[in-house]
Amino acid sequence: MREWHRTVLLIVLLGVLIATLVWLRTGLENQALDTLR
Amino acid sequence: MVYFSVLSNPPVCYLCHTACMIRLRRPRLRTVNNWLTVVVAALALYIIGMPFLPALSWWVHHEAPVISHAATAATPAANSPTAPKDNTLVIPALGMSETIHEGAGIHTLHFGVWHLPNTGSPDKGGNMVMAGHRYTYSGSGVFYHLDLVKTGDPIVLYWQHQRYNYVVTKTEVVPPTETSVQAPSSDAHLTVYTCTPMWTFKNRLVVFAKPEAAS
Repeated sequence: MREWHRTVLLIVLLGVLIATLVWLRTGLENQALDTLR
Repeated sequence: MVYFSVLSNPPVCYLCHTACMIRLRRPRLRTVNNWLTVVVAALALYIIGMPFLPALSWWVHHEAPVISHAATAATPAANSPTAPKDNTLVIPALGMSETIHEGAGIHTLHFGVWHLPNTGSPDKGGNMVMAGHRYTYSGSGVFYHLDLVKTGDPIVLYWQHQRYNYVVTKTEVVPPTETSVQAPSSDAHLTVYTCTPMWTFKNRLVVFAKPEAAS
């Protein structure tokens, strides 16, 4: 694997992890609250 | 400041257009990748590890003495010199002492323990209902260990600078549709609930408690 392939892979992975964290902190909580309404 | 063109090889100084500062080579892609790997690994560790941190903390500290004002204040309903300023829910078995938040909307849960509006209170009687998150990444999961509360455990409520003692009478798991747990009642009691099983919001774990004198 060439070095820049690794870079692309890591940037994609970073994006996925950040999106997951944002969803865990906001989306999932709001989903939980919806079940309480 | 960037003095070198990163595209040229060898790097050329932007100021004198020579390789005068040749020792400051452009960062190699491998170095960038190494740092990216560290950031990705740290973020993954945070996402995976954070939900287990309260459990780890409990495992380390659960034999430590619980909040002193819960263990020593006079009973029942006496003014305590150590009473907290805000309305506070104390569960000594969990070493937990959390401020009770009032609010009309469900988003009050983001602040911690939420006293549901139009439910009872210790001074006025009735069914006082409180809810809280089990776990959240934003840090408002106050009832992470609520499943460890057993029948007979004490619960202390500081309300309007007065202390009220309760004893857990029952714990129960109900579906979210079981709203009868929030129903008003003529007798004074406490209902505390959160989501269960852990990591889901499938059901509700409900803890019922009665005033110590009435139990």
